[in-house]
Amino acid sequence: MTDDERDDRAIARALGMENEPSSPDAEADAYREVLAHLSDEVAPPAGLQDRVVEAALARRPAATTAISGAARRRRTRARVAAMSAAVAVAAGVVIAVLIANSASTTKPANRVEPIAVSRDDVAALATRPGARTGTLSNGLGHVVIAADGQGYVYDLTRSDPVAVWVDAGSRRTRLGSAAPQGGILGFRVGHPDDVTGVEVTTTNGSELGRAPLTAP
Amino acid sequence: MREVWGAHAGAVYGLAMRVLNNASMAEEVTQDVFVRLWEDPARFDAARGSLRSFLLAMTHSRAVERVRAEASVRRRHEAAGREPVVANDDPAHVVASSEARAAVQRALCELPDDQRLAIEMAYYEGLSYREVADALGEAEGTVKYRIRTGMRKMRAALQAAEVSP
Repeated sequence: MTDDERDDRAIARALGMENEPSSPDAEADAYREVLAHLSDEVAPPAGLQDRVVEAALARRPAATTAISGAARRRRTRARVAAMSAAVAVAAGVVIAVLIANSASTTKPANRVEPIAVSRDDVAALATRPGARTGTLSNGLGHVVIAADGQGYVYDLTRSDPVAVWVDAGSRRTRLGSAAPQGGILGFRVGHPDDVTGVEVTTTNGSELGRAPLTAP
Repeated sequence: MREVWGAHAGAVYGLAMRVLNNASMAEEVTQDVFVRLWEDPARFDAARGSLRSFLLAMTHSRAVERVRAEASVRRRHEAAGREPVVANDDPAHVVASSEARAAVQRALCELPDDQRLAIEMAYYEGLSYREVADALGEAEGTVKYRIRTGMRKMRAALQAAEVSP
């Protein structure tokens, strides 16, 4: 085989004309590096990062269940609970890291943070100067938002994924959705002073509860 | 993962948009690529190349699969009038280029039209050597020569950019 023929095959693999070889192909990899610099970068639409996180989360718990399924009967409840908590916290941390990045590329920096926090964290936030609180209708739970934009929906009576929205004047903005951790869902808004209320809906937008925020 | 999304989401989405020319499908491909990385990060082998190259190869594969599945290659090709695709340089959407990317793109722009067109048809439209040759009414060997020559020039430009301080 000539050099030209070798290059033609490597380029064909890099361009996706041929299936991925089973063994590493240094020449094709080198041409893939070239192609990786060919296209312009385009800022992804706002909200895509949230959807990626939701999709990743939706798959990760399923994988965990499948792995543990056969052995579940042999395990104690305590071990399963500990594992679930560890997975939930780990997932929450990763998601928070993923979502936090969107703050630099989207306006405003609005997002939901499904991080495991305690009721003490909520109480501490509520006592900060400038923090505002509200009670969600339909007995769904409560809301607190601090002056720096950090907020929690807490005492939630639902454990399935819900979406959090904020009202700001005539605008209603969806921050994202996630499953509450221990009845608490964290969120962050870029312009907390503009927020007049918080709403919680199902993930497809059906209203569950709404809370006007009281003045500090 | 924060760094991965921040560093590569624009490139992944940009390539998906370029191949698919459809925002909704590009979003789906972008989501698919990052979720797959999330599920199985061990698939990336740093010894074989950069993470960007790995992600974009996966993006290209997924996007081309979509294009082929919808049997839209020929319609898109005819709609494009077989002209080289103009890069999207809308300042509202384009993120600043790296030196390496600028060098490769400069090399692409400096290629003769027949080389650039053949590469763009193969890469962005997912066509094989034979399909590019048929579309252009050229011999397959001619198309291979054009793509090979153009790719070698861009590879040399990338290597020079990586060596430069």
